[in-house]
Amino acid sequence: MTARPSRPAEPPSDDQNAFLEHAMATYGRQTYNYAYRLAGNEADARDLTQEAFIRVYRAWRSFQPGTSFLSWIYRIVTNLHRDELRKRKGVILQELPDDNVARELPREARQHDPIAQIHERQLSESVASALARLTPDQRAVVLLADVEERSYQEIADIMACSIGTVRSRLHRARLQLRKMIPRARAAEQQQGSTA
Amino acid sequence: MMTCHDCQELLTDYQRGELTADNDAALFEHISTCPQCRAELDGQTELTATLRAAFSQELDMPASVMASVRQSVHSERRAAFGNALRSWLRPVVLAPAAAGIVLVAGVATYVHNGSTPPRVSAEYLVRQHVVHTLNSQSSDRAWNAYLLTSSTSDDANAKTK
Ligand SMILES: [Zn+2]
Repeated sequence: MTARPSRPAEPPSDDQNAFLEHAMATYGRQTYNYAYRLAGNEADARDLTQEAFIRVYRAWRSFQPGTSFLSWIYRIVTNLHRDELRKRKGVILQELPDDNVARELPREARQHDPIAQIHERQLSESVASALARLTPDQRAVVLLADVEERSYQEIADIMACSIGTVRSRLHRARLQLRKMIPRARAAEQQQGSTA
Repeated sequence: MMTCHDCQELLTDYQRGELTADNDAALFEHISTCPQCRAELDGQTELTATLRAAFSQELDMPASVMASVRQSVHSERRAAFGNALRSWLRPVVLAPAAAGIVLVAGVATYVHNGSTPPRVSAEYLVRQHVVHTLNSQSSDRAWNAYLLTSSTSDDANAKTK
């Protein structure tokens, strides 16, 4: 047996690992909560968060120091969520025109939509079912604007769209929610009284 | 004067504090005298409060998420390492032969040239210079850029003469 030259070193990934660990420790909780709000259930939130951090690991060099890491990972989560819904059948992705607010989703679509299956202990049924009727982009804008309290500019960065688009999506989403939430509440109460 | 239509277009921005100072002041003035727009603003504020209340619970990221990420990343690294190892093993058979050829050729060149030090071509020096000055990622791109610009400037020189 002849002696082999020394084995090739494992690709240097200590920095990459440290980057990932730091990212998970610092932003894991916020990322998970955003994913949960977007998806509406814990199983999907886990998958989204997991996949997002794997992307962060792979693409760690493309992160630009001095920019917001949270905006970066929120963008990844938002895109993953949109892609996931696109894959599932029966989910409406087109934005509804302004005048067509009370459009009902087909029954199968509601069953596939995680928001529709949300637990009551986390989120009231009426808010959940109203959110389920928004497009994924409208839902993301509402959550980022009203719950995460991000500025228009930050939302535009996360969603890779213009501030004008953010404004119009938020405007439409709020209009829909203000019609849908009371309606869903009324239905909820009716169900409660008959049960 | 701001109309109700203008006001309602800007209400979301107003409620979020995203208006310019001028518009913000005009809207404030309109709302204090217009019950309809005031009610509209209250409706939006109530919606925001409802959403925040619905999502007020902060969850902890489950430890299983971190574990899955680490596991997935680890297996990716192992796969990458396996590929690197395979591509490293492949040329091992050919390497000694290639090294031998290079060695023979090198000795022959050295013997032939006697004591003259190895010469570096002028084109190589120019190319290196171009690469550094053009700050391009690819030396060929830089070289092509150099060729293009130099021929253009030659033409320009020719015309001025
Ligand atoms: Zn008014």
